Amino acid sequence: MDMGLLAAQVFNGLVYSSILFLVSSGLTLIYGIMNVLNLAHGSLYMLGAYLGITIVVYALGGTPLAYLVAFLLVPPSVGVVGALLERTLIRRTYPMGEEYQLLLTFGLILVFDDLVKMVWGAAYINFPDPNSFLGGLRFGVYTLPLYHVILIALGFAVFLGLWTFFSRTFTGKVMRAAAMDREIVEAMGVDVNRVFVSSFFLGSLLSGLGGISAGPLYTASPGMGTDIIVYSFAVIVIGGMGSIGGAMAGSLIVGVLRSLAISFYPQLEIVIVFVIMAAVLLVKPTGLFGRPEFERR
Amino acid sequence: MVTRREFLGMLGGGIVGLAVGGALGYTLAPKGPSPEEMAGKLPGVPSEPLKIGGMWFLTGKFGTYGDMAKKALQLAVDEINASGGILGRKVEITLKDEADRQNVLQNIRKMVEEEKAEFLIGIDSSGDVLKLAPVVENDLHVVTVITHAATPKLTACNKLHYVFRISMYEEPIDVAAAKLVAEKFPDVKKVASIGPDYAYGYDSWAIFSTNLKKLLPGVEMAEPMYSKLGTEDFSSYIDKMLAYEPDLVFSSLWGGDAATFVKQAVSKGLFDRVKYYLNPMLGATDTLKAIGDGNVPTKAQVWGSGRYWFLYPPHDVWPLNKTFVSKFKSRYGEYPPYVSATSYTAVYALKAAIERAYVMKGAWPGQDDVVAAMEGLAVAGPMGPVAMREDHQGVYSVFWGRLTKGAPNYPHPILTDIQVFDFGEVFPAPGQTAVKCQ
Amino acid sequence: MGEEVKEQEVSMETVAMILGVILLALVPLAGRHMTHLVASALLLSLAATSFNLLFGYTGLLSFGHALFWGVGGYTVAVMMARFGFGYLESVAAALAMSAIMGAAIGFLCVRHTRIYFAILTLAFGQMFYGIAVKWDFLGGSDGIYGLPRPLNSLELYYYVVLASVLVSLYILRVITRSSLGLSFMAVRDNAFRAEFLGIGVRATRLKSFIISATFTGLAGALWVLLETAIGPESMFWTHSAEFVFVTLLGGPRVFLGPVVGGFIYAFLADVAMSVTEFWLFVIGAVLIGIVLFFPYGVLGYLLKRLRG
Repeated sequence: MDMGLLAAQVFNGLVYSSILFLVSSGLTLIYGIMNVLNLAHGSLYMLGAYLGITIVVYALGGTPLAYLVAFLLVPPSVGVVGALLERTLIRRTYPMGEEYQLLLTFGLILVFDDLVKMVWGAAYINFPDPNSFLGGLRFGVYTLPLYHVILIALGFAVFLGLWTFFSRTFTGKVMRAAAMDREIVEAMGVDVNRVFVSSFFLGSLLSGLGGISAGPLYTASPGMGTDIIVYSFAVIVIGGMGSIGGAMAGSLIVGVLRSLAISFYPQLEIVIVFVIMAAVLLVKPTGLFGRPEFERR
Repeated sequence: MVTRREFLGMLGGGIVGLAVGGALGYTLAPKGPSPEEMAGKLPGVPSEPLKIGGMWFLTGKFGTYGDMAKKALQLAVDEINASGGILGRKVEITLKDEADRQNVLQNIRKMVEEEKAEFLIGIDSSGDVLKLAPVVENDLHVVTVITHAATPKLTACNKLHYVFRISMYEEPIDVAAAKLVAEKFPDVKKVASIGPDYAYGYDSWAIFSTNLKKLLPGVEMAEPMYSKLGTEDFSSYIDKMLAYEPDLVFSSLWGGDAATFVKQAVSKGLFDRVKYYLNPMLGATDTLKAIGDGNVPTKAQVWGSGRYWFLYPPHDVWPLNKTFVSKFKSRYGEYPPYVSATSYTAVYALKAAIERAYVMKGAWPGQDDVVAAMEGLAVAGPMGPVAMREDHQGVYSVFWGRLTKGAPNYPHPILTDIQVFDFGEVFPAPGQTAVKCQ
Repeated sequence: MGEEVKEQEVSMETVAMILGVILLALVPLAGRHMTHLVASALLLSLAATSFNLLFGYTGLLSFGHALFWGVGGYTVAVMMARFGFGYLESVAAALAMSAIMGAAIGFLCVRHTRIYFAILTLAFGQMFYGIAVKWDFLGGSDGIYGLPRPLNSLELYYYVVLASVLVSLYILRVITRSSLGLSFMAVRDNAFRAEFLGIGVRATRLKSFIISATFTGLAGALWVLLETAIGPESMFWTHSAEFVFVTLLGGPRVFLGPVVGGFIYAFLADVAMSVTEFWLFVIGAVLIGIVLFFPYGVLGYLLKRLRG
């Protein structure tokens, strides 16, 4: 086997893992704390990319400053959209079964896709590539574009940040506690509603961050959220639903294996993710890092 | 390949053919009275409007194609209605969304049977066109003009009666690609390839590679790579290509995928390592807009083709293209993509065939009369004269051009150094294809 | 609720059903497009009712049920186009194939419940979608097309569809009222208690899965003969979501709920697309409205109102 190619493919896999992690960590966070599986999470990713395009392409032009502004403004904006969705629509499904949440959020996917088309048009839109001013590092025939390196670093930084937040800060601990037992946390004087809105804000913010991070690499089109949501599902199922560490593990497995499959076993690419997902579910249904109580409840 | 002078000669022949064919094509249609004045004035012509049903992807990832088609349709219909409609009948369009994949046939049927569409145009997906053709032929019996779906199987593997394809299909472009390589880049030693992971990608590579092997037997070819339609991250494909160290990359990616690939390949340094990059679907303004001047490779030569290019035939030799482009630009603020040109031409082909059939019959023609008039018809489109061959495939010349950035007056990169391949050179004979029929 | 009232209700329902069947029998008079539309609505309804045997009655939400629609459809297409069988043998084979696939996939899936079951079925659905795209024998991305339509007539074939769907619905109705159907509901409401009562929970779920898969496969098989073609998109997860949507639209706790949902959906999509290119927006908005305002589904809501 060509070791250089192997290394390059692992690197490519890490870039993809990083984007998958940003999106799926938000999905798993919302599920872990609130037991809500938000199918429209992928639409928030799309929204992140399109808001980024508005700033970078239409407002400021592809300058480094434009990217900086977009990275600062877009994720919280998407977070606010997510929080609003929680307050106005998703909240009302809590007394119903989870199938109603799936259905409502599936409806949101259709609405978001058409809204994006109404606002930004049906044509695919390209970001200017930040690598054009960032450049890349050369290794033999391969190039590691600097923006890709930044993305990998961003993925790991967000992972460490989330981990610290949930294990070290008071708010983070309250959110985890609310996930385990709503009533007791409420009895202790915590406003659970606020916890729910905050976790939706944070989870959606992460999806928006995923969108603005991935946007400059990809091409935006209405419907771009459909693939990422299915892959994110696979990620959190493999890693264990509700676990940030699991989302990281799942992202690394899916991202790197997909990349290796493309290079070495191309006919497996389209099914490999689902095969791993089914295998994990059959052998260890709670995923690699999941806690068993989630299924029983 | 033909030179510009030969091309002008051919074009002349085409125009003569048009006139001789007796087609009342666009260029020959006089400015007439309005539909209101004309209604009922020609004997045997119904007074109600003539409805044409169109189907393209209107929503989802490929919704942009429907958008392009609609713009062109509106342009054609407004022009035709402003000059008397078709034999005095006002033209109306009804549309259905091809993205409703489960119900393609049901929606087509609705247009024909409920909304009373007398003719059909459109269809983006090859899978859909192959499903649709037998139903139109055996059940609906309505003249249908395909404007986008490009599988060779449609015209080469079926005996068509009601279905026609006005748009260029993939085979001649890929045959021309092999000729282009053999004539202009004979130094090529190693070829790598990527295409979308479905029939179009497989067929494209099969056609290109078999033709290239005949012309340059010594060329080494990598195992072809295929990526899922709508792939976001091509890095792994690009590095695999780099590992092979090819000097030419053939890519049949299209739409957003074609643009994403070029962008990522630039940042991964692919174009510093290969000499030539060929993409038969690159000559599409929607793709070029998405690529943008910033992503045009500087070292490698990038070549593209397509079903229509807005600067070809040159505006000074083929004024119809000039008129079309300027009308489209002033109405929609952009240069027309290929789906717009083929959809526009489809409406005029129907008009010409109906008028020709009316002249021959002396009454409003039935579907079979229009079929007879369509066979052997030559119609003038923005892409030049298009002749309808016996296998119901529209034929016109193929172009390949080199991607160039920073062209003044254009908001996106364009193709220059246009190489033209006469259709006689690159179209397989009717009923023939390098692709396996089902 | 008194006995009398109940009897009255039953007779009202019977009258409504007879009227419904008469209306359905008259559909071909309304034109060919209407015939085609109602035939697809019937098949969608059958698939959704089969899906609901697993969902509403057994408490298992499958998000990959289009897989069985595809299995039924592809079996018919392969038998006819590749091996030259007639449509009767092909549909019979499709039933058998759907049952076998239902048994195999169900065996793996019923170990789980709730969201894990949903995601596992989704994974299998996507896996088979991937296989259909890749496998030449199934026509790859083009699918298999140009099949002959049975009886050479849309109208006659419509009656085949109508009769098959009515008979299937009747069988499913009988099943839900049998002891087997009661055991489905017992497992749905309380698996632990059902276990104590001597009901094998997994075996019961598997039975429900197989029956559900078989009838979904039948719907897919008959649909292929209506469309004369099939492609991989018929197994994509959004098609599975359509079954879920249709069921909740009509009402999962009423036997005919998915049928009502299937008809509303088919006509809604048909009308919305004629009115606006943003028809998906309309569907999405209706979906959200249903969840918020009619969580028991349209039929569930109507029956609730009728019964006070």
